[in-house]
Amino acid sequence: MISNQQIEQMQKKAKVRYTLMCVFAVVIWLAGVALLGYYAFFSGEEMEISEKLGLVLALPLGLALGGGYLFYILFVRTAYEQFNLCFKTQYVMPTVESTGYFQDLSYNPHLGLSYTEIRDGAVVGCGESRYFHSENLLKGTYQNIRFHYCDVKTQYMSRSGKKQEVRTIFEGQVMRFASFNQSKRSFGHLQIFEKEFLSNLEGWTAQNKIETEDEAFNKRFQIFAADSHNAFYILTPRMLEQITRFADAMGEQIAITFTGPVMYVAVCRTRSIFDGDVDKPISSQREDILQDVEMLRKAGELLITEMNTIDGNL
Amino acid sequence: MELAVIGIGIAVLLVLLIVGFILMYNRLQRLRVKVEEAGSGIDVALEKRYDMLSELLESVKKYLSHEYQTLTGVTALRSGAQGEERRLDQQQGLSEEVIRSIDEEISRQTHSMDEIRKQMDRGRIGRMGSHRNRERDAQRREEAQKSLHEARELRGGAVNQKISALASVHRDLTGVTAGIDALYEQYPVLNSWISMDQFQRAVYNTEEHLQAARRLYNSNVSIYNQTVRVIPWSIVAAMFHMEPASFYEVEEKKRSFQANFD
Repeated sequence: MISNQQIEQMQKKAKVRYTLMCVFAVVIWLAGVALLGYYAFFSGEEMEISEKLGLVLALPLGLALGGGYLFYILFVRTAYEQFNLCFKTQYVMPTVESTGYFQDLSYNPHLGLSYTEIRDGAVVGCGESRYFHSENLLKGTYQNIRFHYCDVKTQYMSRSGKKQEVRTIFEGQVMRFASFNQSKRSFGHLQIFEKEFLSNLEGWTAQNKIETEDEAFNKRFQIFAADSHNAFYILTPRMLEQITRFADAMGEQIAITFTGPVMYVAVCRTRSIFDGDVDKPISSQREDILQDVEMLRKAGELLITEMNTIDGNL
Repeated sequence: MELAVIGIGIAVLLVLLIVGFILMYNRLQRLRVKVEEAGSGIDVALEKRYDMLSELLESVKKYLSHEYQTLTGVTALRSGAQGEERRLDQQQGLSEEVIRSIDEEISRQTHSMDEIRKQMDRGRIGRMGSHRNRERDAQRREEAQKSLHEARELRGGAVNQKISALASVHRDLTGVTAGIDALYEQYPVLNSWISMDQFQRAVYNTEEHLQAARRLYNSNVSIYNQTVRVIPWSIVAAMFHMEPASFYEVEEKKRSFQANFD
């Protein structure tokens, strides 16, 4: 068991190394500017002004960035990952348990949802398996419904002529609830994607594009379903309302998929859940964890419990 | 040359117009079919509701009828058992009284027998006296023995009566126990609430499906109507007399609802 003091020492170590990395990069830049400036303007070499300026400004910057990155890889990343892992192991579970919302909790910072599950769930584009990454798996039950909650990142290799680049399709959190309604099942996939400019969040989509009677909803979301009747059966006016409320609460781009009894919810967010921050005191980072957990609770409360409450009131 | 180019241009334009016309017509027809399909979907949902709920209702009614008969039978038995209970209470009271009076009689006779024995003992001790006294004592002894014998017989009779009364009570209790056992075997576990709950859920589920069918129909009608009313589809629609479809409308009597628990 690692003590709080040890974690704080790790945090301090990571922060110091990060600061040193910045200083190192600046020193390289200044040294580069000085040396190359002297060479360019005082060595007597015949060069164009643009070449001289390029040499003085661009090259030192490149060297500084390269040197800084090397320093990061060699010294900073290891220290931060060590601190982050200890922070998650020490703080995440007790904080989540203290909320009292969930039962049967388990947390593993190294595990996540599998590529196959994300691909079959079709809540976001799965990209290529070699670039798929998932971690920070929190499992448990909410109102007797099993859930999985983790970070997911999907990417693919983009080829444009000779140029190759790894592009990110989705980076954020994915929640998987074992049941979204006591009596309803989705026959085939029912997908809802929030529209966003230049977003390619959706990968494979079902064959029927659905337009509901709610024009505001249609403007904000795209709906795809294997079966149109099934889509309207699950997306009742109340459900449409709840999805809108959830999207408003998140403030980020969301995607929801229903398949069989299971519901997947994806929220686009670049920040990983439960990550430690080197700049904040350890004790005050509890709020960040609670915020991450609140997202999960909101999904369960708005998208599941409300529906079950209606059915339970028969 | 120029004429050829113009001719080709016009031909291309005509072809494009014809292709565009065909595409628009086909789209309108597809949308029309979608509307009809959705309308048929409502019928499917209605038929499903009718078939399923009819069968479910029949089975629930049979079950309720069976439970009603069982319940009334149990109630009758319970009433009979209550009468039996009252009878037993009365009998118990009588039995207690009888046994009490028999006990009192036994005590009295026992006391009387003790007195007689004491008298006899006193008489035996006073045997050494005159002849007349001896005769009187013998007579008294005879009477005492006779009384003793009578008292013994009376006491014996009272004891027999008590035994008979107790045996009768035992027989009655045995009968009641047998009656209770029979009642217990016939008493059913009534679970009509489960079947009613399932029926309600089935009703809710089919209504949800029906609602989904209606909304899907309206959605398809909306898309179709929007298409036939905008240019250039409206031109094609007008040429083929394609009218906008009607949205699903509720029956007049269902526009307002008042709960009535009478």
